[in-house]
Amino acid sequence: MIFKELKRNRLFSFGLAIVLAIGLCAIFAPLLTRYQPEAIDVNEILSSPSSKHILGTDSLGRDLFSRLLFGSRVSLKVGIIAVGISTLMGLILGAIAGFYGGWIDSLLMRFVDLMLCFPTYFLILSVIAILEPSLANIMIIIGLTSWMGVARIVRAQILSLKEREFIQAAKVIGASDLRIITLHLLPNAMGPVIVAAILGMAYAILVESSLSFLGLGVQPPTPSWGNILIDAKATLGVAWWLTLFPGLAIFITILGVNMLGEGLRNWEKQ
Amino acid sequence: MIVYIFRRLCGLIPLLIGISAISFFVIHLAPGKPVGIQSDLNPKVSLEVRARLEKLYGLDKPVAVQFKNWFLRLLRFDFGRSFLDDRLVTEKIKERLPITVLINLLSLFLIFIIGIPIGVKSALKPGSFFDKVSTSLVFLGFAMPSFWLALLLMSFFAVTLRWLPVSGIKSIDFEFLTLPYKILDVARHLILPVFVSAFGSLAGISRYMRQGMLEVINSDYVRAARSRGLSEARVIYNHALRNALIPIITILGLSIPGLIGGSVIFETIFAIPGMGRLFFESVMSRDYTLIMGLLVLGSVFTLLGNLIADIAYAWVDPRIRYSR
Repeated sequence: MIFKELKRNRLFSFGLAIVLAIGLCAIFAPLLTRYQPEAIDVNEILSSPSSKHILGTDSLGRDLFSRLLFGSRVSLKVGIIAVGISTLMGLILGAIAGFYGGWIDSLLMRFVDLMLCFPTYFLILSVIAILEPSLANIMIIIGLTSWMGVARIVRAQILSLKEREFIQAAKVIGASDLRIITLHLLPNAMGPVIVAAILGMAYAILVESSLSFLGLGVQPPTPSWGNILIDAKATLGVAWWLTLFPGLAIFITILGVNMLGEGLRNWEKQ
Repeated sequence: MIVYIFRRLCGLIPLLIGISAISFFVIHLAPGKPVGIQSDLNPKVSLEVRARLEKLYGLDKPVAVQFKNWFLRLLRFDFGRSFLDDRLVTEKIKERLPITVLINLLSLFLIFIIGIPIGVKSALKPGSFFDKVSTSLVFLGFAMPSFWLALLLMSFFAVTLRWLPVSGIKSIDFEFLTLPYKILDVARHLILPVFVSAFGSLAGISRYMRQGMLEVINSDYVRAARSRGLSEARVIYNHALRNALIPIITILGLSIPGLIGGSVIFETIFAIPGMGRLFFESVMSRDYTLIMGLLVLGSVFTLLGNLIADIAYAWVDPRIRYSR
């Protein structure tokens, strides 16, 4: 039954396969490689892919494959936690706006408009400049600056649901607002929210890698796909593997997450 | 129309207050509260920086007074002087602005002339080979990190083939060139940055265009135009396309924050002395006054871009003007 569905929704299946594969790489990273991601080997500086280092080494002689494996942990962590924060915020604010309406709604929706005024990266980078560029800060900041889409979706869902009979019935029985929102409204609004959350994960991963590439994200020596590419820029034209593989890792991950999200959306629409 | 514009302008006031409130909040995240063990232990907080911030923003005054002062400063576009070289923040931004505006306009143009035809062509024959290829390419485009694309293009066209310059906007011998060659020189430097900056929105625009075109083609007035016996080309270009283009105006407006934000990335990679790179430099050197100025101005530009898009929308679609 499930397999039949999976076969039909190829987008979803491919996406799921990619995301699962990367998830497994992240979990079992230490078992998949002989090298420490931070181990420097002066005899192996910038060596091209070979049987010894299957994806080559960087300018400090560190094994690129190991660094990519451990880098996937950073990306997935950022994706999951940042999206967790933004989805939670979007759910709370969107539900309040949709359920209570009136001035609370207009106030919250103006706040959404306001947050959307700030050019991508500007607010994030300003906060990072003032705090520290650490992994925890980055996850929190990305989360706090990307909840607006979810809030709008939740609000629209709740607006269309709250006049329905089962909600009226719950009100008549005397259920509290909190109970109506969390037990009756939100579960019925979750479909599009989950799709948005998954697509948001792709965004969070992209932002983290961009920040790390600028040197304002995850700090070396901790490997992240973005900060590995800093080395690629410094060795442009000398070490093609340093440019190709980390970028490919980001590209495939985002592609997989997007496919998963779009596949779910197709499902959700039916 | 004038009433509409006036109404839209009034709607900007709360947003401007909001922008100043959020940027005010960001300043207050700055380390080194007046008395705190944390600030004493944090070596990054120099007392001098704190003292300057305090003097500039009046951080020793009550919060309400501080906010009022901050807001009044913003109205006058007074962001103080750069921590780094003591020049006026507005002046530093002004000299970096033209190149960023130029690149963003060029990439908007590129998005327009590439994205729209692709969207239209795939909507005319949904399910065709072209449609399938372009839909897949759009999907791949969405997943492409722009900074990686920049690196790939740079290593291929600039380093391997040596067709294009690696970075910057002028060659070393720029001063000795005659005017036509000067323009050519800058153009050669701008090819890769403009392409990279357009690429991110290209996929989105062609997709929206496809969707919009599909909706319009199935609408009653297009069917009516067909039934009157108009030629297919006329139906498509005079009736369908013109209406399908209207929502694209809003999408273009909405892509402005992404374009301005994206300029931080590609201007840094290509070493283009624009606003994005200035922002990166100010973050790297923790030049707080410059950061605040760019944060506020960046969002004000976004507001203006959206305003222009809305006005253009109302101009082409009277239903918007007269509703509400």
